[in-house]
Amino acid sequence: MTAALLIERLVKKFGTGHAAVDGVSFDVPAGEIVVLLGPSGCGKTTTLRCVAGLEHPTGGRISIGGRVVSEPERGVLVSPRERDIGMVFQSYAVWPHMTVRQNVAYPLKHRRNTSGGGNIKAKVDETLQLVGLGDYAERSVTSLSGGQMQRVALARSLVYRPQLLLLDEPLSNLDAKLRIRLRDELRRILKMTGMTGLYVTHDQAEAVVLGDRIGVMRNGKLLQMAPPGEIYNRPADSFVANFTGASNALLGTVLARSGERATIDLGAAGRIEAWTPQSLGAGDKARVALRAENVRLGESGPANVFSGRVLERRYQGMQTVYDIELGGQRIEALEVGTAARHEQNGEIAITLPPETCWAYRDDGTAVD
Amino acid sequence: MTATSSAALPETIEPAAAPRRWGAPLWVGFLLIALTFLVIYPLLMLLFGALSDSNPVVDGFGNFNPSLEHFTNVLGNENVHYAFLNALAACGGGTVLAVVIGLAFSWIVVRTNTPFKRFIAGASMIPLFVPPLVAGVAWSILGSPKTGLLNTVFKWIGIDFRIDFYSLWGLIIVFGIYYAPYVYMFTASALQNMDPSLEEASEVSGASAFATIFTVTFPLIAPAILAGSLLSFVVMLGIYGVPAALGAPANISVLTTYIFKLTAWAPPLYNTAAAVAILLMMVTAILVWAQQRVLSGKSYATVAGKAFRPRALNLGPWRWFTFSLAVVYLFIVVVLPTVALVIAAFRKFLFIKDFDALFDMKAYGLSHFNSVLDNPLTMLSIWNTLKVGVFTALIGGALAFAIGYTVYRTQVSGRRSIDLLSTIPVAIPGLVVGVAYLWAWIGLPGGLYGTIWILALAFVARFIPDTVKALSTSFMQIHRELEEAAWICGRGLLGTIATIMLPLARPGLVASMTLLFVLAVRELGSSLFLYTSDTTVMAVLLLDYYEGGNVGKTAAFSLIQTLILGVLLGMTNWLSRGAAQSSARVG
Repeated sequence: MTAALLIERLVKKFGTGHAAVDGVSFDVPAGEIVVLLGPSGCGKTTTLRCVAGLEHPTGGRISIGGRVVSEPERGVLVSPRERDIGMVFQSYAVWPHMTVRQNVAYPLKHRRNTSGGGNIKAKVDETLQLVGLGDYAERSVTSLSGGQMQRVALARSLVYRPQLLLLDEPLSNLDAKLRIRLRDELRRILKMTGMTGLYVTHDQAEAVVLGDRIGVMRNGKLLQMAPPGEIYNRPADSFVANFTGASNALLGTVLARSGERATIDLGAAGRIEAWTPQSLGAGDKARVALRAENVRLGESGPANVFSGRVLERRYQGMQTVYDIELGGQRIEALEVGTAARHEQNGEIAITLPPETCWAYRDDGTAVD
Repeated sequence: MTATSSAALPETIEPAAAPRRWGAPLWVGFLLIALTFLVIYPLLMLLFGALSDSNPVVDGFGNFNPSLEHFTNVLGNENVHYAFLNALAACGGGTVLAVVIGLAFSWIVVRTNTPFKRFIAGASMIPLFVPPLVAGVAWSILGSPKTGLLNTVFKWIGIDFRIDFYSLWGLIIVFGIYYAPYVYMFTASALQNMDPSLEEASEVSGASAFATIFTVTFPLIAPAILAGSLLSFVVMLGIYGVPAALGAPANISVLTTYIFKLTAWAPPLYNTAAAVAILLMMVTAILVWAQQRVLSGKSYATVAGKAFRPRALNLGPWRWFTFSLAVVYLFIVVVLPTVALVIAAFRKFLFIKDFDALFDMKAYGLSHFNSVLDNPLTMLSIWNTLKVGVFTALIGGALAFAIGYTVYRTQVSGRRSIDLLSTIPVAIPGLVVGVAYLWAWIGLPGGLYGTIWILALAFVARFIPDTVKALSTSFMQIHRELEEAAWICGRGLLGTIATIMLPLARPGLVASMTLLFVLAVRELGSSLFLYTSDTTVMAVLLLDYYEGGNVGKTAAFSLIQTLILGVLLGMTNWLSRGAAQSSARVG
C-alpha cells in the first residue's frame, strides 16, 4: 500500500555541531512524487537518509502512512527494515555476488511480513518485466551495464510494493543519453505503480520531468516547495531563481510597489516593471533576475522595452547566445534556432516581459 | 578551402637511429646473474640433492648419480606421511581459528562502534612481531601438561580440568591466535573499501543485521577472506619455532621440524632433507599461486565513484561485549605469555607446588640472567645477529632498489625475467632456503659456508620479494613526470636517480631496509642449517637453550631477545621517521 510521508521540523546535526538539515517541513501525499533539488551539501541526501532511517535525526518528526517512525524528542526510532520503504541508491548497490533474480528476490525472502510469500518467482518476473529486464533474470549482475544495474536496483525496491520509494540521485552515475531515457521511463514506472516517491537530485532537468512538486534546498533549509511550473515561473527567492537557471541579474533601486508588482530604477538603462514575492519598499536595493530564454531580442513589446548593444555573439549550432549591454549592465540572451539574426556591435531593441522579471531584495551577497 | 589541414603540417622527420647502447644489456645481465647466484643456484643444488644419494661433504661435486628413485622413496616414507598430515592438520586447524578471530576483529574494528577501536586495531597487530619460537616457549611454560602455569591455576581454583599444549590442539590454538592478524589485514581493508550502500540496501530491503552480515557482507569479501587464509596457512606451514617448542615434547613432527631432525641425525641425511624440503616447497608454491590467483582475479567491484562515510553499526550495550572479546584476545595473546616468560625467567626453579608458592619472593632472583649473560656464546650471538642484520639490510636494500627501479621504471628488455626471478622466493619457506643454501655451499671448500655472509645472503634471497614490493609502492607514488622533467633539464639517467629518485624514495627505502633488518634479526628457519659455532645467532641460541631443557634460561634469553628486538625496532622506527620527515621538508 502506498502511503503519505510527513516531515515536520526535521533537524539533523552531525558530530561537529553543524546542522546538515535545519528545520525542514513538507509532506508528500500518497501517490505523489516530490523531488528535493539543490547543490551538493544542501542537506537533501541527509533528509532522504533520515526518512530511510539510515541516518538518525536529532530533532523533528517523520511519519510514514500516519505512523511516526522517528521522533527523537520522544525517543521514537523505527529501524529501516521496519519502515516498509524501498530505496534506490546512487551507486546502484546491487549485490555483485548474486544474479539479477537473486537480487530482486532478496527483499521478498528477508522481509518479516511478506504478504502472500509463496509466489516469489511470479512477483520477481512481473517486476523485472515492469522495468524492462524480463529476459535478464538469470544473468549475473556484474555483466550488466550501468543503466541495467539501476533497473535491477529499481526492481529490487519495487518488488515488495513498499509504502514509500526513496531515490538518491539514481541517474547521476549514468551517461547523458541514458540518463534522459531512464528518467522518462522512471516517471512512467512510478506513476504506473502509483508509488509515493521522494527523489533527490542536483539536476534541475530531472527534477522538472519527474516531480509532481519540487523542493529547492540550500544550507539545510527548504527554500521553496511547489509544482515545477511555479518553481520555474515564480521562484520564491534569488537562490531558487538562480539555481533553476535565471542567471541574469540587473541591479537597481525600488521606486514603487503595488501588490506583487514593483517598479525598479536600473540607472542608465531606465525603469523596469517586475514581479516580486517579497515586500520590497521604495528605496530598497533590488536585484532583478531573469532567464536568458525569456529575453526577447529585436522586439518592442507593450512594456519593459530597452535599447541594448550586442557585445558578443556565440553561435552554438542549435541556439545562439548574445552578451548584451543594457545601460552599463550586462545580460545574456538566448536565441533558439540555427540562424543567428543579430550582428555583433549592433544596436538592438529588447523586451523583458514583466512576468518573467523577478525582483528580490539585494543583500549585497553574490548568488552563485 | 581545398587544402586539407594535414597538408599544412610539416613533414614528419624520421628520427635518427639512436647509437646502440651497451649499458642496459650489461646492467640487466648483472642483475640476472646476481639473482641466479642468490636464488636459482641454491634451488638447483637442492633439486640435485633430492635426486641423488651422494653426500656433498664426503663426495664433493664430482659424484652425481641422478635418480628419481631416491625422491620417490622419500615420498613413500611413513614418517614423511605422518609429518605431512600433521602439518596439514595443524595449519588447517590454525587457519580456521585464525579466520574466525581475524574476521571477527575486522568486523568489530571497521564496522561497529566498539569503544577504543583504534587501540584494539593497533594492539591486535602485536602477535605479528612476536618471534614464533618465543611464542612457542611462552605457551609451553603456560600449557605443559604437568607443570604448566595454567594447570597450576586450575588446580588452585579447584577446577578438575587440565590442558595440554604439547599436542596437535596446542599447535592449532597457538597458530590460530598468533596468525589471525594475517587474515585481519586482508578482511579489514576489504570491509573498509566496501560501498556501505550495499549493506544499507539489504537493511532497507528488510533483512536483519545478522542476515545482512551473512548474505551480503561476508560473501562480498569472500575473496579477501580466502586470500588471507591462504597466506596464513602458507606462513604457518613454514614456521619452525612453534612446532619445535610444542610438538617436539609429544613427538609430533610437522614438515619443518622433520626436515631439521633429518639434518641433525648422525650422519646427517642431507639428501632426504632436500627431498622433503622440495615437497614442502611444492605445497607452498601451489598455495601461493592460488592466493595470487584469488587476489588478481576479478574481485567484485564494490567501490563506487563516490566517497563514502565509513559506516559504524551502533551495537548499543553489546559494544561492551565486543570490547571485552577484544580484551580477552589481547590478554591471551600478549599478557599471559609475557607474564609466563617473566615468571619463568626470574624464578630459580619453575616447579610451583601450589598457587601461593607463586608469590613467594624468595624463589625469585636473577640467577638465570646471570648464567645466560656469563655464557660467552650469548654475547657472540648478539653481535653476530646485529652484523647479519646490517649486512642483510644494506645488500638487500641496494639490490631491491636496483631491481625495483629496473622493473618498474624502465622499459629495458629482460626486466620481466628479473621480476620473475626476484618473485620466486615468495613460494620458498625459510627453512627450505636454509637447506638449499646448505646444499649450495657446504661442499665448496673455502666458500661461504661457515661465515656470516652465507646467513646474510640467504636472508637477502628469502626476503627480496617483500623488499622489492615494499619499495615498488613508494616508486609508484613518484610521478614519472618528475623524472622526465629532470631528463629534460639535461640530467642523465644516473644523475636523475641520484638527485630525484633517491631523495624522493628515501622514506620507502629506509622503511624497507628497516623491515629487512628486523626480519633478519628474528629469522630462525633458514639460520638453523647455516650457522656454525662461530656464527651462531640469537634465534638459534634460544632454540639451543630450549632444547637443552632449561626453561629458566630459555625464558630469560627470550626476554633479552625481545628487549633487544624492541629497542632495535624503536631505534629504526625513529631513524626512518627522521628520514621521512627530512624528505617531507625538502618536498
